Order: sequence, then C-alpha cells, then structure tokens
Amino acid sequence: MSNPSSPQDIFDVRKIRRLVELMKEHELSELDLQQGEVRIQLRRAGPAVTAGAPPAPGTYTAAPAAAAAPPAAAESAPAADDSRMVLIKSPMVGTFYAAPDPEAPAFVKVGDHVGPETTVCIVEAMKVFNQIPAEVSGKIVAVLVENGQSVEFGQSLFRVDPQG
Amino acid sequence: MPQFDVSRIVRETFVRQVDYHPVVDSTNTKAAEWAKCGKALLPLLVLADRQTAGRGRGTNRWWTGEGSLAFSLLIDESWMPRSSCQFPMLGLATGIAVVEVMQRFLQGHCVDLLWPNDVVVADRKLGGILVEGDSRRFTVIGVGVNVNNSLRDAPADLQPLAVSVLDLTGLKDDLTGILIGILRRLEIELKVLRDDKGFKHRPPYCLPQNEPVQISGEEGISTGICRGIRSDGAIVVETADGMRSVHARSIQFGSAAQ
Repeated sequence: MSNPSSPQDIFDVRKIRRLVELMKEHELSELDLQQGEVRIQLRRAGPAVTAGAPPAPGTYTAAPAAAAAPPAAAESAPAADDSRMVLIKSPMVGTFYAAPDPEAPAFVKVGDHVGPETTVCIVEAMKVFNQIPAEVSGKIVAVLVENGQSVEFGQSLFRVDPQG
Repeated sequence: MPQFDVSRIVRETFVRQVDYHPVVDSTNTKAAEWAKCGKALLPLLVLADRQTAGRGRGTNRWWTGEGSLAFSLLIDESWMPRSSCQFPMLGLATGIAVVEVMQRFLQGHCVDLLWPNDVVVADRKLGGILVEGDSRRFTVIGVGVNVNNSLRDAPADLQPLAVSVLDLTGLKDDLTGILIGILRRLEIELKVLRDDKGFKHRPPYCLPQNEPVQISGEEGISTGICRGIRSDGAIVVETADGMRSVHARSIQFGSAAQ
C-alpha cells in the first residue's frame, strides 16, 4: 500500500474528486489507474438504457484499496452501457507499448475518439513492431493494460464506446 | 556517383519500384509514408546512401556510415503471413536471409543471427533489422548492414560493438550485388513464411543451442539453457521451473547470461 501522506498518493480525496469531475466532463463510464502496487477503479453506473426506465442514480465503485472514495456516490450522470462496449484485442503474443517510442506521447488516451484506421498501440514480438489499428469507431473509455506489459493472443487492450 | 544500380535491382529481384535517396532521415520512415499514401508499386524498395536518423528499437539509432547498406522494403498483405500471429516471424525470416547472404561474402568468418534480429560476427554487430507494420495491410522491413563503411569512422562508443565487411576483409564489395542477393533470399523466406512451412528445419545458427540464456521479464530475471526454436519462432528455454517458450522478453546469450 502507498503511504497515505505521500504527495503521490492516488487515493487523495481531492484527486479522486478531480478524477470524478474528469469522468463527468468526458462522459467516461470507467477509469482504471495504477501506481506501483496500488490501483483505483472508478465506475459510473448510469441510468438503464431500456427505453422508459427511470434514471437510476449514478454510483461510483472503487477497488478495495480505494474504499475511502469521497461521497461521490451522489453524483448522477448518464453513463455508457457496458453491453455496447467494444474491446480492442491483441492479435498476437507480445509486449504492449502505448507510444511509438519511450519519449513520445501515447497513441491514444481515455476520452480520445478513434476511427477504424487509428493506431491505438504497438504490440512488439521478437523485435517486430506491430501497430494495432482500432478497427472500430468510438471513444476510448478504458486502457486495460500497462505500458510494457506482456499480452497474450486475444487479450483485451482497450474498451471503446462505439456511440461515444 | 550513385552507389547502387537501380535498374539492375528492378530487373533481377521481385522489387517493382525503387525510391533511391542520396540522403534520407530513415528509410523505414520513408517507406511508412509510402504505405500511407498508397500510391507505390509493391514491393517497394526505399534505398539510401546515407541515413541521418536511421532507427533501431525504441529510441535506439542506427549509424549509417558512408558505404553501408541501408534499405527498407514495403510489402502488402500478399507477401505477409496469412495469420497475424505469425507477423513477428518476419524479423526472423529477414535475419535468416541476411545471414545466409552475408556468409557468402565473408568466407572464413562465421556470421550468426543473434535471436531474433541482430546479425553478428564474433559478437560484433554486422547488421540489424527493424520490422514495422500493422499485420494486415502493410509491413516495412528495414535492414542495415555494415559493408563498405569502416567502423573507424563510427562514434567511439560504437566501434567495439560493431564491425563491417570492409573491416573484416580489407576489401570493398559490390553493394548492389549484396542487396540483390538479400532481396532474392528474402523473397524465398517470405514465401516460406506465407506458405506456413514454419522454421522447423532452419539451420541451428538461428540461436546458440544448449547455451546459457538470461531472460528478463515482468517476473524478474531468470536463467536457463537455450533448447531450440519452435516452429512459430519462439525460443525454447529450459529453466528450473521447466520448459518455457519466449516471444517477447529480453534475452541475453552467452557468458553474460551465466
């Protein structure tokens, strides 16, 4: 666990509040952050998409380590339905790279809109660098792997909201 | 004076178009630009006498001294493996082509492929390969080989790590002839890969069999003995925990691994 007094503590209430604001601002349904051994997952459960259903209050859930999330549960905003989400998967075994080189910005980040031809990452195997196209249009709502992480064939890399 | 005979390259190889530059930043970058514009006759060869920003893995740079061979081949899906799973084999296939051809020009020396993409003579780098693509529509196969350049002209930190044909033989060779040899061999290797014949019957120089290797991965560093290569190009390592096949991790061979 991280030291609560650490200036880098990702569970700082103000930071979580800011994350929640960012999620609302960009209409994100899910956020997954990891820093060292600690991880925080924020998920907005919005109104059911069934026509005519009353809007349910939004809730935020967090990973166990982030149980001290602020009273953001009162937040209410429309959220994307998980069932409509599309996953971008790795076509091969390899190493996931979010950027073309270590000094460059990531190809895409949460909140970005992508098209079928947009390169979202590189999977490297045996020193061969494979640019992965999104193959779908929509908004990146979650990056599911870390830069430099080994990935398996078919492993989900990104979650995309095609209606985002 | 041009170092390459372009018309001979088109006549004697499967290349249909050559984009030849006296100086270019990176032949791989140029080839990727051709891929995006979609107007090239493929296979396209991007060739340069000199690169100002030759690329290697990540932020690594490839030094291209005068007289070296630097080219990138742009191919479309008709020359690529049918399965994207086999896409990583392109680097290995290219390495095999380069090793086999350079061995012909370096009689008396042993040219090795340091898995998966370095061509070495006595642990010094003779050539390097950088393959980039999207596994569906196009691939850029970048090759750099130290031929008629001398490492005496290279940056000081590079000199003990690399070697050239000129340094080894004292003679300058026909760059066009070497390039044609590599392209012809590469054409065969690409067909083998596309026909899914795998690498089961590849010569043992693909990797130092039965020698110690050190694997750096997410779980830390482990050591083992190299036991060969799988048909999909993965290296098989016998570790204390059993046999492991490795595609993506960093591997160090030889004494450094002991």
